[in-house]
Amino acid sequence: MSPPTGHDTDAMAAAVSTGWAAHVILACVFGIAIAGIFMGFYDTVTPIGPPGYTDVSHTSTDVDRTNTPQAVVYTDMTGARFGPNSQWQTPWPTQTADPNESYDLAPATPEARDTINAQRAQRRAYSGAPPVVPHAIDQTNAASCLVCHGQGMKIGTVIAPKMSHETYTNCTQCHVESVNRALPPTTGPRAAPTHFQGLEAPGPGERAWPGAPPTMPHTTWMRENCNSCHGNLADNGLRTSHPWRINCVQCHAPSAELDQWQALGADRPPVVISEKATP
Amino acid sequence: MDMERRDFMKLAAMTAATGLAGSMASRADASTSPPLPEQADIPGVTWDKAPCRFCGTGCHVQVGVKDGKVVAIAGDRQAEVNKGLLCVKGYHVGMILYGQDRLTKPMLRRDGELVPIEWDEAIDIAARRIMEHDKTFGFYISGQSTIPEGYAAQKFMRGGLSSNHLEANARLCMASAVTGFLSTYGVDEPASCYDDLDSCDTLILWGNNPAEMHPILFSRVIDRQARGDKVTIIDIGTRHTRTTERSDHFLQMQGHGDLAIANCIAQQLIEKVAYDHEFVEKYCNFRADRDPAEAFDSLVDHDTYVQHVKQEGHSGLFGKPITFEQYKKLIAYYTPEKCEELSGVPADQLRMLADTFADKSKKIVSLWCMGMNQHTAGTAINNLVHAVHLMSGHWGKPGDGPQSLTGQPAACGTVREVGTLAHALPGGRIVANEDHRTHAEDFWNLPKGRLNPKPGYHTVKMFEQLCTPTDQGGDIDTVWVQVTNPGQTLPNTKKLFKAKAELEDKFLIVSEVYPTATTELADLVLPAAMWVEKNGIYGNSERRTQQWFRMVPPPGEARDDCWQTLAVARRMYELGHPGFKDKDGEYIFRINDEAGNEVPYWQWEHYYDVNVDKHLFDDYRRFTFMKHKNVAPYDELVKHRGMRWPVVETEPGKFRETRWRFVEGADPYVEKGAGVQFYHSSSKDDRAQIWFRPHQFPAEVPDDALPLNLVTGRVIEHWHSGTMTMRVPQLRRAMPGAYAEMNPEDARDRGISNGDIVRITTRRGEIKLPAWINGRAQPQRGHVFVPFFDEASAINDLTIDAIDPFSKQPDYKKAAAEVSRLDQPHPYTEVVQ
Repeated sequence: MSPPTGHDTDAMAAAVSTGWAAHVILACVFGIAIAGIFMGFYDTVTPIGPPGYTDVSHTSTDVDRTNTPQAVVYTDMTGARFGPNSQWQTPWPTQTADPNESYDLAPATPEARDTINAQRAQRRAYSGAPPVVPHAIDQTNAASCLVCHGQGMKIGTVIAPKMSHETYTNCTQCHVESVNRALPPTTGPRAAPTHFQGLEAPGPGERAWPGAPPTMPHTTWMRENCNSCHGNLADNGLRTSHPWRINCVQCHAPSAELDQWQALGADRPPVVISEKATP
Repeated sequence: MDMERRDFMKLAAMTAATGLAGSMASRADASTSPPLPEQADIPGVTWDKAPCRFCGTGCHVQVGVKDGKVVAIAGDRQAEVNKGLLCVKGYHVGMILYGQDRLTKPMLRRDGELVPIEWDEAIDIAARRIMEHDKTFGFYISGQSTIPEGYAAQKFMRGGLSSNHLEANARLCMASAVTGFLSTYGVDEPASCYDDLDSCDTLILWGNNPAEMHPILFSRVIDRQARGDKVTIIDIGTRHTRTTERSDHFLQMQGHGDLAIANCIAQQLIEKVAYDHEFVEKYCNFRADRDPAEAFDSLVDHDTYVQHVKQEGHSGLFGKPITFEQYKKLIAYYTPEKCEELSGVPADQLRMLADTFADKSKKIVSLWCMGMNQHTAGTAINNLVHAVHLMSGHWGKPGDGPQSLTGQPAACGTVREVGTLAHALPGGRIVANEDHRTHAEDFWNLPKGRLNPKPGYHTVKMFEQLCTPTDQGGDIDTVWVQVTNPGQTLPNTKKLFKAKAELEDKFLIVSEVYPTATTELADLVLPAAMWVEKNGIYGNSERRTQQWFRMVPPPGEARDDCWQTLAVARRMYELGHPGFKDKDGEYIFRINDEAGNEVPYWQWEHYYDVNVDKHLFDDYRRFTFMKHKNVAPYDELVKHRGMRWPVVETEPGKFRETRWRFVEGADPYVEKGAGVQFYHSSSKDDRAQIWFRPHQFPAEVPDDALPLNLVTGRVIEHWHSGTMTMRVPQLRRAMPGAYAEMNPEDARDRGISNGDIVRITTRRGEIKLPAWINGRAQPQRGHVFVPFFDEASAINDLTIDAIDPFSKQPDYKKAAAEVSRLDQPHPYTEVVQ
């Protein structure tokens, strides 16, 4: 066996280094994979936090760390609950079962109505204004809104109402965050409260006689879908007592007085549509 | 109906005078504001129409009023523009009236402090000051001034003072669109309309983010997509925005890349012989800055020509005719590869864009706004976008044509049509033209020669002169600002506005609704009524003139801007200024009642005895026929959600609006059989001009010391300087302050993470802002974006004041900058502080 030439030495060195490199790469791959598993656990799992933990923003700059829940121990993973809905108590199968079974069909009390109206008022400048969004939003992509609000869903006591209007595709055109979680709040004179007094939510609709179906106390413009506020997913106070009746306007008449479309038609001539151009 | 309204208005005016007092506001002393009222029980509401107070889209809202207050807003379902939909600003527009620090009392600066005074004294001070300084007085109004306000200012300045120092803030937002239309079609304003958005196949956005800035128009297109229509959206810009998110193609360019992109389309159309031969031969001419044959007897190449123009200068806005052969030779320079180098957009994408224009089967709408207008080559890029549409024949069919957007509700109606710019007269006339001056003198019954032929100072010049000491040639010493906030929105504000603070002899009058950066330096503050607190008329981006009535009284002693102008005019007439008498010695703003008696409307309690808006508007209307911009009579506008001019009377009492100008069948002024007729053509042959406009680099480009490009702009929640929208809690909380939007890699290079307070530095100054990375949008590498709505972060201290040579519009989107963490050494030590 002749001594290795310089060329062979290089080849051997190359072979050795290839083998060595392969080990290093493999080690790295395994290492990253294992680290990834734990990193993934760390970031995606949120246990039930202490009461009051509602900040779900990942971009927040001023998260109160004392209120931040502890990461879940791996062995407790199967029992841990996911996501920001800390009050999620119910296993998934009951959420997808026949919804009518789980509804409390007791008529709404005035107190319940006041509670829900007060909550709604907090999220609206006036009755009829587009509500602000009480949670963090995707700043660039409106499609993510539809995941929950396309059909509507309820998890525990947290409700994502179905849109009350037909699908418009630029959600953030009308609905903005209630609080911008990425930027510090405004200070100085411009942060002063406003003198604006918004239109309040209407009371219950009028009944022709006790027991008659109430008329709608609000406009139906942008509220074509009654189920959004009055349907199965609604809070007690606005929820219908008879969810199996699905043709709402059969019994509940819209009010012409409240519907600006008709009211204006009476004393304002319609817009003239000029004849079709034929260039 | 009319009488009832008038009675209500009188009542409302009187209530205003006595009630609601007290929310007298000065920034330092917000505690004088009354406590917030108790929650009111609101049983019923009356509704009326008004155009939205904000952008140039021109949506109509229904305003719900109860007990003299706006309580609710709804989208107006009968409005063609928005069909019942609004954006988040529009839904909250009623709240802008009710900020706690509304200005409710005139204030005069005494010993450095603004102190309350009475209206009579305020009007007298303003009148005497303007009277003494009538040749050095500038009137600076707005694209938010109503048409009657603009017309009153117009007659006040040109007729009363024989002065042309009348400008409007629209100079800062759409002057380049105006010069673009004028030099292309010979007459201003878009020929097409929003209906095109309902039928276009391709939407091209030139430096435009309509998902935030014109959301109603953008939704009109993307809602079509949601319904299954195939619309291709091509976004050309420097940042990845909400609009980009919805687009099929994103052409990411460097500043001024748009010039190269448009030129590349033209080059490809010629090279592939894909231009519309028939359209070009029948309806177009070719133009350039200079006639190439001046210096060369044969076809001249691009570089030689550009060098020649650089030496000789341009030959005016309307340029010189060139031949198609000369054009072909010049444009040949702009190959996709060359344009990739100039714009940063890959050649393949440029070819794709050119192929889109070459495809005659697809209808194309181009939209643009500030990206193209706030540009030191703004006129040029406007010309070029018109040119590629004209050359490719994508012009004048429903769904097929260029559409320039405006940012203010009456940038078109008041500034462009009424002509509240330093060179203009109403109805497309100019002061330099003797015939045009004669028209105005005749309409106004003024003696011959009353109007001054010399154009006044454009906006940047006017404020430069205000901020220059009088003994150093600063020959503007008094400025009256109405309905705008130059202290925050002028470029390079330290130089063009804040320097006024040091100049004792300069006097600033500001009509405002809230304390602003402008009232901060005001010597006299006049509290103004706003929006539905007064009668008004706006004109939107598609030639639509929109009227509304006063619905609620203004707070405290706030009064209409138009009344303020007319009251000062009256005072000057009483003081004996000769300009306020017509040639028969009558007061130039005389208004008679039905019995022929003069109405003393300059007394506030009599202002709503007559409809002053109607008188001024119908007077103005006579001016609109010459350029075939016939606006509808006031009474007709009352009945409609706006009408698009030219509005012609087809039979007595019946009026017809126009959707597509210059197009047979749609425009009543086009001759039968003409097809397309540019009847105001600058070449007098009914043809539009296809311009050759070479690429040029921005006025300030990044360098080693300042390696980033600073872009400023807007966000959906706020409107311009935020004076109104920052007082709406829902909007303020959603967008509480300005931020530095950075590319993640630029941020990483500088050790900056989300939420860090960073310092942005340009040659004009620096500010500190929180960084927001991967937030609302993402700029490309080398760019940093800052919105300008936030009064607390005066980003316009940092912008450049270079202007377009034709339009005199500044560029807010290019400034060399550096961003650094506060604990890092200062990046640029030679900054002028």
